[in-house]
Amino acid sequence: MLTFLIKRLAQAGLVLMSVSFCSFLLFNFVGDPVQQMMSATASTEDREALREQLGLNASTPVQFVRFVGNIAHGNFGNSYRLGRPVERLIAERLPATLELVAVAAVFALVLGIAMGLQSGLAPTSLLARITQWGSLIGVSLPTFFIGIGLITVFSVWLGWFPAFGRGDVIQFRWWSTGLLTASGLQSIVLPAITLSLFLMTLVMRLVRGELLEVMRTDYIKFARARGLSKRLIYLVYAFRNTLVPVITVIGLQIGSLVAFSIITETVFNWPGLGLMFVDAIQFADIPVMATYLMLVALVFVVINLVVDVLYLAIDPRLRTGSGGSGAAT
Amino acid sequence: MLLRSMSESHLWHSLRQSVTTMAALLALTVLVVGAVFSPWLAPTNPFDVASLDLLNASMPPSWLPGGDFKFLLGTDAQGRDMLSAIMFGMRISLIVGLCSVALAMAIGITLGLTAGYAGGSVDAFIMRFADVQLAFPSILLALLISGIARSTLSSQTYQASALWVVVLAIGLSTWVLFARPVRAACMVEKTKDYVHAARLLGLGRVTILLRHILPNVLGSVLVIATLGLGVSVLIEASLSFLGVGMPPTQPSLGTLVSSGRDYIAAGEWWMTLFPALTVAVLVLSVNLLGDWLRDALNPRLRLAR
Amino acid sequence: MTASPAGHALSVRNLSVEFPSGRGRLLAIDDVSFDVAPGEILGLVGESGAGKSLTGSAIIGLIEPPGRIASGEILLAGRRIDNLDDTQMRHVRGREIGMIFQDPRTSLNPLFTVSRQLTDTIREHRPMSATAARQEALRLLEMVGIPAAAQRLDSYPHEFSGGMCQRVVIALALAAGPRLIIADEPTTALDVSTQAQIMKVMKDLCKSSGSAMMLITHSMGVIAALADRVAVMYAGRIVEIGPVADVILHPRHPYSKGLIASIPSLEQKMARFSQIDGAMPRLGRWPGGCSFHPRCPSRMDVCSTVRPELTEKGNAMMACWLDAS
Repeated sequence: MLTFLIKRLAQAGLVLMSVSFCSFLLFNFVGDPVQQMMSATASTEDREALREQLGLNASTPVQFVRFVGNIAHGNFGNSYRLGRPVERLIAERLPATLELVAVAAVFALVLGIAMGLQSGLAPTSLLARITQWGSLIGVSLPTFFIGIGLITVFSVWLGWFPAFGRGDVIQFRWWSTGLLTASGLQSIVLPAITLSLFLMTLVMRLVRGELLEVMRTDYIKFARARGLSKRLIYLVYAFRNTLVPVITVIGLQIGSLVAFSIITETVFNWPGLGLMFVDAIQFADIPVMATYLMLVALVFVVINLVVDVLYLAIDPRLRTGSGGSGAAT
Repeated sequence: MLLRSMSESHLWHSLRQSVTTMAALLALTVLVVGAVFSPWLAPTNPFDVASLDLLNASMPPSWLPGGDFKFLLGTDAQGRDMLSAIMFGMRISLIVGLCSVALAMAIGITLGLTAGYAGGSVDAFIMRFADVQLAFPSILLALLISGIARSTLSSQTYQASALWVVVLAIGLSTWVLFARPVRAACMVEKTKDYVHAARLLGLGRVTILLRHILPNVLGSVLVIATLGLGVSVLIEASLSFLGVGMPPTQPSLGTLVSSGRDYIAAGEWWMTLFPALTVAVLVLSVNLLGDWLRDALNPRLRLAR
Repeated sequence: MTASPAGHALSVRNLSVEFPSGRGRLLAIDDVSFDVAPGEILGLVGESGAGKSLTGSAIIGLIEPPGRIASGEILLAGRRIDNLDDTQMRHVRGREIGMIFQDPRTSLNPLFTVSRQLTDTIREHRPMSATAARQEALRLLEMVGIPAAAQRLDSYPHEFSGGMCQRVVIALALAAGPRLIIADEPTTALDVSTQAQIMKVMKDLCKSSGSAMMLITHSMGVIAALADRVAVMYAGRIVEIGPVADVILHPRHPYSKGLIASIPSLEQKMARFSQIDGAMPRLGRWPGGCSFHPRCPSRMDVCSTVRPELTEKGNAMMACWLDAS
């Protein structure tokens, strides 16, 4: 079990190293930062001075060592566009994105699992059919369409929720939260629904499919033949068996929530990392792009590790290694 | 060869059995005809600046108060007819989508066949690469590629080649869809007797791959290509919506959604909702058709994703 | 056969089970009646698809929809249980009827410890504290012969061998002291050396607790080793029923003869009976008259038109025109 975790940690480290190498390549060989930062009329001397100041004249290996060293010190360079340290920019934007992703993930998991259980346990009920159809459409619709649709209906026509922004936020040291103010809560509803819808439908379909599989197994038949209560059979016995395959997919997809938040944040003008990333691309702001890339990779790696640990907690067969090594008859 | 080998009547029969698929096919036909023949079918030419009249700007759809029957779906802030803009935009969306699928297919089939036929370390290298890429959402990758293109090309070059940059970005981020099933099918096929026989006859590798193995994986490729078209159109729309896809001078559906977005707050929702709705119907019908094709060609086929 | 139903642990009266289909309703079990006395082991034997397992499911009230009981009565110690609602039936399952399935490895939930599955079942039927239930679980495991049961209480099913798993399954079925145990092919999935041990455990437990058992199997060998009486089923009907000694040594129905000829150890004595040709047709393709007539070596004209009813022949009962005089 320990070796399993160590192996996974080593893999995670390898992934992070290769992503930071990609980021370094991006940093040093794509585009000309001097071109981006100075007006077209700047003199050659000024350009050369800036080049020297940015350390772009050093040899490649020196630059890579410097790059890694800077990362280790939490120094990700200055944004070409804003001229401010990237880590400062990220820290400002991070709370907004994390709050959005967290609320969306909770929506998706709670509602998705509830609807999946409901339609798995009563597959012929009207509610189950409606959610089945809804999920088919939900998987096919582009995120921005859902966001714009929600804004049109609930902001423009009905005026229930704000269409843009994050509302009022409260500052705790470096963390700003919108979850403690009325306007902040109102503002997060539509973006969170938009972001969660894809994952919600996915979770629902997955839970439903797995539950239908599990309900056919011998151990559930045997549990019913022992007269156990429905609550115990469905919500404890069958549910845990359903979770095993569902967790992998959920783990991977929570990572893509972070990626899809780029679109949601653009639709709702949500002041998070995704919006910053899109701006960075439009202005070819390489340090911001590279840092965002490393951050997303980090999120993916961390989530994968969490999924592995959850697996161990749920499935005892994994804890003993290959399994099935019990005593003979 | 593929379509002829399975009886057409069987396909047609299973098509008619599904009302949803028929509806999807109908919707797709209407959209594609409207897009392809937009220069002749569209009420106006949205690119003809001379025909624009600011007096017609921001008119709502014709059935709402203030609407004009001339502009069925309303007009944008420049007085451009939305219906015409959508028809021309869809043309660009479809061109980008089809080219991206073609590119992804070319890369995916080549690498998939190579990996499946060669095996060993070549296979391991290609597939490890594919795994890593698959873990990364393709929209993020496409964003990155288009961002890199933006910073390496001068802005004039970029404007001129925007379409090919988008195609490259989408193609490079979706080829894995093709590579994995092609590799799997190739590994199955290469152990079969007829491939052994071909090898004993002294046929070259490339000949065996193209003449004998490729035709056998075409069924799966066709299904993935259909579903991949939906994915590509969606990514293109998302890129353009984010402002890093097609520029306003060559507006795709996503560009229209993006430029109309600023007017939602003013209550002028039609400028963005109608193009968005078109993308949704387009992608939904392509997906439904792809799903049906997958089941109709082989119920046991479980390929995409 | 004439004793009052109250004296029986289980009484099945004219049970029919139907499945709706495109061509109307199909009877998968057709007018089946039998009794099981307390402490008695009744074997139910036949080919797969004959309706043996379905009879078991009908008794415990777990027929897969759209199948349903069309007619007949099921009495458990004289009390009708076929018309109970879901909640009432839940208290019958486990507490009064225990069920043992074929494959012990798939019968246990892989994600829960053996003690958790046992205590949940015990406490469902007998309100007691968690510690008391754990004591009871330990007692049950020792009763079914699991060595070092105390150490293995918190093991997961995958840590047990197949035979040990089946012992756990038996302990689970017996957790609430049921008066009837339905064992559906309890030894089929086990290897030969384990089969004998499990059969011994079941027989001993039945005799010591006084529970009745319905043993469902396709193997006459298992019947010979375990059962007191045997009912031979073919195409949804009982064709012969009687004490094991009578039926095995002197089978009268041609189908019983064929089944017995398939026991290897008895084959030499019964050398003149060949194995039965062909296979039992699928549900819905059962022929009229005696369902067995297309495969019967001694068929007569009457067999294809009129269905024989169960009639008493010495110690046993059988449904065949052969000895009907």
